[in-house]
Amino acid sequence: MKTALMWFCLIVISLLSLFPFYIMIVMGTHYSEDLFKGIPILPGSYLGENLKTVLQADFIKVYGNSLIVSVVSVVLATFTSTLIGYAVAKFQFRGRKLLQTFVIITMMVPTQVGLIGYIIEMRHLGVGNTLWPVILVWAAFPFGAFFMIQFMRDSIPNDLLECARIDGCSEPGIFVRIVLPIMKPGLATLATLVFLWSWNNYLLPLVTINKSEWYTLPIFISNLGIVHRTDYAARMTALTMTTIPVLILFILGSKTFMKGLTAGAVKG
Amino acid sequence: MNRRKNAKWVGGFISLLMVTGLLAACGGNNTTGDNGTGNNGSTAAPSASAAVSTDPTQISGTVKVWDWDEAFQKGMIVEFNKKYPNIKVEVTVVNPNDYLQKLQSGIASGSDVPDVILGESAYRGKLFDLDVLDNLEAAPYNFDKSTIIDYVVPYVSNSKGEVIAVDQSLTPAGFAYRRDLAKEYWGTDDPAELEKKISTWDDFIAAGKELKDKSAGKVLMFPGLGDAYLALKGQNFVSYVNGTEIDLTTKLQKPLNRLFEMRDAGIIGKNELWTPAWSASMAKGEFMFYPMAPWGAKWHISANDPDGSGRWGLLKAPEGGFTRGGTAIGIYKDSKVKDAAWAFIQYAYLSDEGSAYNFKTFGNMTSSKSFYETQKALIDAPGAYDEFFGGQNLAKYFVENIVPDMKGEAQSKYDSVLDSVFNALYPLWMKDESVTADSALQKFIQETKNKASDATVK
Repeated sequence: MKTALMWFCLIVISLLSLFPFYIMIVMGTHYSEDLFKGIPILPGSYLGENLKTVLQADFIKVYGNSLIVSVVSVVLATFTSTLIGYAVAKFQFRGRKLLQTFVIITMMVPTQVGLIGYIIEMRHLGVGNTLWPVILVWAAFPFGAFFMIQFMRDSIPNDLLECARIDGCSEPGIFVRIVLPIMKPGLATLATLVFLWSWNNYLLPLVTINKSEWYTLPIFISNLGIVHRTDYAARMTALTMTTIPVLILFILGSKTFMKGLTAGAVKG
Repeated sequence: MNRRKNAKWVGGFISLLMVTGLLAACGGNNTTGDNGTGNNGSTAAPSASAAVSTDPTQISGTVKVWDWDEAFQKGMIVEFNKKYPNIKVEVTVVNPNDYLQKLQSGIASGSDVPDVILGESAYRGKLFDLDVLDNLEAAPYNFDKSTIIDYVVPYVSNSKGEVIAVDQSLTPAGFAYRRDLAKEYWGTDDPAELEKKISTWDDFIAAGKELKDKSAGKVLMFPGLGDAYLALKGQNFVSYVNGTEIDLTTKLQKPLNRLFEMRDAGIIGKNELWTPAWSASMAKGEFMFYPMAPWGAKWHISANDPDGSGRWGLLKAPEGGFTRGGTAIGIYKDSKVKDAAWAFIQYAYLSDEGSAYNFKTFGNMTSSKSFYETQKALIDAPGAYDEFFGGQNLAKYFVENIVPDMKGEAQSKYDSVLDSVFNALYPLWMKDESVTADSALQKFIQETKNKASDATVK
């Protein structure tokens, strides 16, 4: 009885979460103006035309841009965040408190405020109008650092590190062999978030990228079918093509993530 | 213990995945339905370009353009390069809704700014106010504004009276109407006769009452107050901004009085502009009139009523024309390639040859006077949507019947404030019959004060 109820609830919630996806997919198969006549439940016959609109506009190249940006961002953000987190959470040094406060303060500054300054910085670095500004912003990611500080504090016992030191493990060795495996769940969470945020980022690529060939997906989609009328159907097709592969990737990847969850547990 | 901990993680991760999916779905940027990006117009007698070298092959450089209409640029650049082989034109597609933000951050940070800047009607006043466009009447352009159709001049001038842009296309507007309904209820679908029937707004209201009675309330004049307001406000060409003084009473009292007169006569529907119901009403035949500029035939009427070929017509609005949409094209004042940028603008939007291509391919009507003298045959030839409009020659009708009595209106950074105040207020006016023209005007003034705190509003 209890299981039946649980299943029922799960199914209802799943349907509710998946319905918008279904509608998105179906909307991509209709003629844009027909969408206004009511929510379409059955697929239409306009998918070919919508696909043509999307692919004509260099979708593949833009998809590649977005993938590069997101993957490199994830690597950069998790790398720096983990190092900062480890240092601040597990080492005593002068300015540690200050560093932590600094991380929290930078977290409170809205991106929009620093935007112009950031663009100027990027221009002086000579990487204006490339993908770098959209990637480098993740190299100093205050939320990631904060998240890692908290996570390390809670989940890595100091005794474990002490044991390793006594056994003669080098400091980099401790980080790679002991800390990172325990951190896998945290890394997976952070990686997921950074991937999504950079994948969906709109404002930054909008103001930093001035060449169509370097556009990322959100900008590309918002530029689809904008002359005199808005081609919502083509945008839905593009959105489907944008969302589904990433979703599949995450579902497949979740197995690896889960292994990570069990691998790093401390005995006892 | 471990198992419970793991279960928690697994649960947490699955919920994260779900959120992931939902967030991913929100990735696209929303845009409002109306990109009233009219067409292109141009003006330019070759003689006006004294400063531009007479030999087109002598001018070179790379001109950067930000435009939302990639198809237009792709076609036009090929034509342009036939005459100017050494000028490279680079197009970046920018959504008109983001244009100003992108431009402003580009200028503020000193990074890339296009040489050719477009001002869509929704933000044109704000763009002019930024003072980033070069005065085209000065060197090196030496543009002569008497070469463009007179009513266009205020639409391309800043508050100092300098011409700082050219128009992409004329955007005079009239009313698209349903021929089948006009024939059924008024006994004729001939534009000339119908124009006589609604030659003043009083006649219009009387005809609306007749229509409502004969159709037993099934067919009304406009889908909503927003459509009527477009015409009424558009016809009141008075300038209402003086520095930071906004005179709303002069600008809006007359249109609002008419608007509420029509509402109280019950001849207007309750649809908001650009809503699904509003779009769907075109095919359903619930309303007689829709304000329409030349770009509307393709993007607006035939898009929403794909099976309606032959049942639409075009006529002049009571008491004259008004404008709808339109895009200004200017040159960035710190551009390094002013000569090349001007050569492009001149060719694409002003020259007879560029305008002819523009008209034939995109239906855009230049604002250059000479085009209408030298290329008269083009205007007279059948257009792509004439058949859809019952065989009426749309371009010819716009040029001969609507353009002659058009007047211009100075552009202001407060124009977009007025639009947003109106859009916020008018849905309530349709629902709440107790709102009168006077109380609506007072509310309008109040809201404008809130949104334009630097201005005095009366």
